[in-house]
Amino acid sequence: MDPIVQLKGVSKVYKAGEEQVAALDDVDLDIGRNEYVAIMGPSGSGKSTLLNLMGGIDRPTSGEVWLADQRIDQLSERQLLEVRRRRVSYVFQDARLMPSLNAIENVMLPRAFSAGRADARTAALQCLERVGLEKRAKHMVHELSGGEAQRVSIARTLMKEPDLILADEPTGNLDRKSRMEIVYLFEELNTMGNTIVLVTHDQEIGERTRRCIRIDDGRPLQEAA
Amino acid sequence: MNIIQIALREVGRRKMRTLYTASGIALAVALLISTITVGGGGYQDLTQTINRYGHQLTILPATTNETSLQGFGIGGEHYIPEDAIPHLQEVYEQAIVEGWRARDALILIEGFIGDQEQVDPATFAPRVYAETELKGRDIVFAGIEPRKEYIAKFWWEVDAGNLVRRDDEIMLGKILASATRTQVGDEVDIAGETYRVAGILQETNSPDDYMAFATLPTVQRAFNREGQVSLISVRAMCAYCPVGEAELAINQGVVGVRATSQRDIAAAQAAIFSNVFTTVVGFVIMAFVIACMAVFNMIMGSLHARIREVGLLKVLGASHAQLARLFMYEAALIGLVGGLLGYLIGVGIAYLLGPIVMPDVVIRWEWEHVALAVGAALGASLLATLYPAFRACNARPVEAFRAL
Repeated sequence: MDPIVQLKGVSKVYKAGEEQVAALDDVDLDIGRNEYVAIMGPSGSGKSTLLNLMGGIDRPTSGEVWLADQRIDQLSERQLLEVRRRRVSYVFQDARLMPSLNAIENVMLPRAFSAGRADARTAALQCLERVGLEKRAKHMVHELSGGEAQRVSIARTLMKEPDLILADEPTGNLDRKSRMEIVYLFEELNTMGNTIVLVTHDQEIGERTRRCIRIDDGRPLQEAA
Repeated sequence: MNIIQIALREVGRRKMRTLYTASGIALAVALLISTITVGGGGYQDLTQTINRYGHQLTILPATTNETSLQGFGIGGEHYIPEDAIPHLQEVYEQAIVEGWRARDALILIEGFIGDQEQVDPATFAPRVYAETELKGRDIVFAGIEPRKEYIAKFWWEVDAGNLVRRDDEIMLGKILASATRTQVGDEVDIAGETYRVAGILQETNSPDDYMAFATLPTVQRAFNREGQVSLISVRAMCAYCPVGEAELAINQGVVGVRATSQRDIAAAQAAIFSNVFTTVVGFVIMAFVIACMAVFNMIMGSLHARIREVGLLKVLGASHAQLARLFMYEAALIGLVGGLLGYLIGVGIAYLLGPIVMPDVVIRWEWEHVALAVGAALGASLLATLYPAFRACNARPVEAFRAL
C-alpha cells in the first residue's frame, strides 16, 4: 500500500483544568492513496481528533504524523498553511459556508487566499457541475437545502484538488435522501481517484466504504474491510 | 473573488451591526466636528474683530481728559493741529515699513510696482468735536472728512439717504435720529445754522449712534476751531500691519499726541478664547477615546462571535496577514461610514446649536473637517480592531472551532 497518511505512536492529551484527558492513545495507522475509509465509534472516542491530526489543524502530544512523504506534526504554522492550502481539504458536519457569499463564491473561497485567482470562476463552476449544482451557482446559502449546502461544501474541497479529503460526520445533519446523495457523491469522487477519510456514526455509510476503522477510548479496536 | 470583496459582502450582510458600530464612531466624530465647527467659527469671528480693531489706531491730544464730552471718552478741550497730520503720516508709514522689515517680510502687499517696495498708505480720518444742541437735546457734533471716515470706520453702513457731501448737510447716528424723530430730508438748526439731514447711519453700538456729523470745515468754522482736530482715526490698509510699531513710534517720536490701539486687549481676549477652546477640545477628545473603547468592545464581541468563521477561513488556507487584512478592510468600511455620518451629524448639531451658544458665529462648511472626520473615524475604527483582529488571527483552527 502506498500510504498517504501515516500515524506512528500518536497520542493526544487534552487538559481540562487539573485533569488530563487522553483523546488518542498510542495510535498507529496507515491510510493508503485512493482509499475510502470510514472511522466509526461512540461520541468522545477520539474520531474527530484523529481527523484533525491528519489534516494538520491540530498537533499530537506525542508521536509522528506523516502526509505522504512529509512529516507534518513538526511543521511551523506557515508550513502548515501550505499543507491546508494545497494538500488537505475538509468537509464539516454543518457545511460551514459563508452566508454572505453565494454558492459559486463559496466554492471560489479557497482561491481568494492562494494563487490562481484568474480562472477561479470557471474552475468553481466545474466543481459545482461535479456535485450537480451548476444551476444553483448564484443562489445564496439560505436558499439552499441542507443537502445542497453540503454538496457546495464538497465542491469547495474539490477546488483545491487535494491529496486527501477529510469529512467529519458530513451526513450528520441530513435527511436520508440527502444523506444518500452525499454518500454516492463521495463514492464517485473516490472512484475518480480522491482519497477520502470520513468520520461517521452511520452504520450503513460505514459498511459502504472500502475500509472501516472502529475506535473507542482513543484506540482503534478493529478494522472491517 | 478577493479579500476586499469578501469584506464588502461581510459588512453588507451585517448591516445592523455595522450601523450600530459605525453609529458609535459617528457620535464621537459628531461631537468632535460640532465643537470644532462652532469653536472655529467663534475663533474666526474673534480674529475678524481683532483685525477690525487691532489695525485701527486712534491718535488723541496727549492731554485729553477722557471723561469729558458726555462721558464718551472721545476728546476734550485739547486739539491736534491739522497741519501735523502729514508728519504723523510720515512717522506712521516709516514705522510700518520698518516693522515689516523686522519681520523679514517682502513689502509688496498691494500695489507692488517694479522692484520698488510699497505699502498701501493708511487712511487718516480726522475728526473735530463740539458740544451743542439739537432739538433741545445735548449732542456731540462731529466734523469729519466723509470719504476717509467711511474707509476708516469700515463697519459704517448708511441706513437711509447718503453720506454728507455738502457744507449745508448733516448725517445723524441711528439713536440720535430716533430720539429726535428726525428723518432724511428734514431741516434742523444747530448753533444758529440750518442743515438738511442727508443721511442716517445704521446702529454701530458705538458713541457714533448718538452724534451728528457734518464736514470737517463746517464744524471747524461753526465752532471757531479752524486748523484743529480732536482725534485722528487711522486704519492700516493691510491685514497684519505691524500697527504696534507705529503706535510706539508715534508715542515716542511725536510730542503732544497719544496713539492707542485695542490690539493688546483683543489679543488677550483671543488668548482666553483659545485656552477655553483647547480645554473643550481636550474634553471632546476624552469623549472620543471613551467612544473608541465602546467601539473596541463592540468589535471584540463581533470578532469573538465570528471565531468559527476564522477557523473555517484558516482551514481553507487564509494566513494571519490575509485574515488581518479582511478585518481591517471591514474596520475601514465601518470607519468610513461612521466618519461621514459623524461629519453630517456634527455639522447639523453645529448649525442647530452654534447660533445658540455663540450668537454671532458663522458656521462654515470646511473640507478640512470632512478629512478630519473621516481620518479620525478610520483611525479609531482601525485602532479598535487591531487587538481583537490580532487575537482572532492567532487562534489555531482547532481552538477556533472549539471556542463557541
